[in-house]
Amino acid sequence: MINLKQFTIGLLTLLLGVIYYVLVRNPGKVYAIQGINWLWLANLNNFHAINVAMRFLSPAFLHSCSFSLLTASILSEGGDRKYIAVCLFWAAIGSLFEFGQYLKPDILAKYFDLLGVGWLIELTYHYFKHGTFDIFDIVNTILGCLIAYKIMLFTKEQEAI
Amino acid sequence: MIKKELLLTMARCAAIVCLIAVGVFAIIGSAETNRYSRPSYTPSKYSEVHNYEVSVVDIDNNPVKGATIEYKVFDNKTFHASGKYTFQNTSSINRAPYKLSPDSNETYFRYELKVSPDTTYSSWIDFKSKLEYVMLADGYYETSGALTSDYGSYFTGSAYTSESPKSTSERIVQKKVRLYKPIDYFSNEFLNIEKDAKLKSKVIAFVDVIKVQGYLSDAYLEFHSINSSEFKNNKYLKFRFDNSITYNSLKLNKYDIAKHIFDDVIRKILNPLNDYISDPKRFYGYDLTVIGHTKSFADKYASAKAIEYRFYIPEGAVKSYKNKDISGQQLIDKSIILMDDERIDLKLQ
Repeated sequence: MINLKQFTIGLLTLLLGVIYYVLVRNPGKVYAIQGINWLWLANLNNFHAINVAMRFLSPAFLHSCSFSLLTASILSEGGDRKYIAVCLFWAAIGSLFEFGQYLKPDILAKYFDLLGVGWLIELTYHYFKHGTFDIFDIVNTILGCLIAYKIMLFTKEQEAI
Repeated sequence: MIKKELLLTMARCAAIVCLIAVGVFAIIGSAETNRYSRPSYTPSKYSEVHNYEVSVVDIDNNPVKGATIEYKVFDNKTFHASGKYTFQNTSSINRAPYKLSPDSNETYFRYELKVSPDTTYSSWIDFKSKLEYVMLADGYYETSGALTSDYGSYFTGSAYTSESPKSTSERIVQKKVRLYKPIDYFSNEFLNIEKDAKLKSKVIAFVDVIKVQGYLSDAYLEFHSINSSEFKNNKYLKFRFDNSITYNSLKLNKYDIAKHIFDDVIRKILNPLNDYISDPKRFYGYDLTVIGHTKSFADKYASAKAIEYRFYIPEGAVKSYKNKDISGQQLIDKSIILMDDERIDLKLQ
């Protein structure tokens, strides 16, 4: 049904991303993970290896890598083309949002009242408006997809369960 | 079979769509909410470090050598630690107050506490700590107190309001604890002129009693206030008290306040005064000054006005009052009472 190896690696990478936000950023103020008590994860600060890893990792890298792997793991059959398509898709998504921080489209402000999704549009608007465009984030996004692609190839031989 | 495959494909598609939604949301939601004026419900920090620095000095601001502090430390409301520390190095009290290396300066007692967040209330993230102390030193009166800190605490606000700071204290809470000796209550003049050591020790015994046994709950014997005074050719032993109660001027006039002060302060100290310091050959009586305070309670901005009440009470009358030979009114009648330096009569009923 799913490629368990890819799924597990993807999930672990995603967890690493959460740990990054808990240890390096300010988890109480990060919208996606606020409201959850992450204090227990703070103990990871005591592990030197994790502290070192946090210096070299970037959220953009972890995001594109994990979601590429998770998406690939759900596909019915792993094929190079499908893997490339998945990686390109997530690289495009990551890069688009990064460019959004450069362009800062004000047009979104008109749709804050849109039924059901207005809050999401408002959140996106603020993300673009207050976020900082960084070319290294795009590099990290692409790098994450490339690493994910490599992992997909390594784990491709495994029979999907 | 085909139907099952179709369902499986649909489930895969749904899972991928969900994954994309989560992935996109993870990007948007990764930015910090304080930029978006969103509420925050979890602590932004896992702990705060609170520092306490306590020094001990005497009335002249000199360090007290060999003083011991017994302390209890609380992390929020939870007991954290207790202990004792003896101040050794007293050469310079003002040295490097912000250096926290433990061995560089023993003039201060320092305690560094890692405070965990108190998330009892969703709108407040509290980092509170408390240090309770009892300060002891040979020849000084024991003193106790508590220091608190809320450094790092903040108010997260209601939904869609931006955060505002809540802490009022600094990261380092400093306190200079003052220890007093019995002779700190003597005026310099009295110490220099009065050669009678026996009388001094009697006065010290009296001060000990009113301080330790807590005869006065709302009045304080002022420092350097014990002296001798003369009035109408009679010699009196002088004590000066400050009454901490502020009376309502709308309900009580100056005379009513005088009655209250007689009941609340003077009456209470007459017994120990007569027990410990009774020397008719040296003193005709006691000169007891009490500073009373009054203000209008209707005006919340009104500041209290001080009134000086001075009771010149003959020692013999105090003895008679103590032996229940005369009443409180008769004692007053035998005394001279000045209110802001004007002689008054006082009727208790």
